[in-house]
Amino acid sequence: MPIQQFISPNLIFHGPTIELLILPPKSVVEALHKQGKKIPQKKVLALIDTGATCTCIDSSVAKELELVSFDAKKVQTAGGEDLQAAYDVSVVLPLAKHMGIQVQVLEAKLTNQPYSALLGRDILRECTLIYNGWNNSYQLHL
Amino acid sequence: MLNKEFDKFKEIQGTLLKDNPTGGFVVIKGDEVLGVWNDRGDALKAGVETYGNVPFLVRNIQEDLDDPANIINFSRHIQFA
Repeated sequence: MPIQQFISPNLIFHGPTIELLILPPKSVVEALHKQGKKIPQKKVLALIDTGATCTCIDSSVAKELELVSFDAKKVQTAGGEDLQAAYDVSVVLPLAKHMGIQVQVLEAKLTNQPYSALLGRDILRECTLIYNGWNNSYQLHL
Repeated sequence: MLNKEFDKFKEIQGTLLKDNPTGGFVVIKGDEVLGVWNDRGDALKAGVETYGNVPFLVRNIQEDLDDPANIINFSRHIQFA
């Protein structure tokens, strides 16, 4: 089981973060590959967010990867329920570089945040997360 | 945002469930229903092979958008695009 340990001297301020590699979904990657086109991919810093049902990416990331929406999800916001475009993507964690996790993510405005994605419980369901506040460390097991 | 496809999905969801009692993922583009696959990845692949990397709907036929269990929540305020 791959394990990665992180130490953050200011964990209470920054929160647990992780670098993710985001790509279009496998089927789109295969189609682009067949056409001899470049596969867009983007490394992003994500906040591990146990309070998020699903993973979110900043609008700039969705734009850069030229993601196309194939579904929508109903989201509870401050203003009530809203239908939001969902994007199928492959998410690669640094502890399992050979494996892309296929998930649907929402596009959020994370401008002015120190991270450009929220890693939600849809990916955490595949992991064990240990948060050790005593020594400013956290571990992710896949 | 895939409004036409969602309207079509709502119109045929009952029939899809009757025809596919174990569930599946339907692909809809405009008014056209391409088919139902067991796996979301396979449905997506069929859609991309047929229509290209353009918007079309891939939807779990068992998922009811209005069911509170399917509404996504966040413990923080998030502004969506």
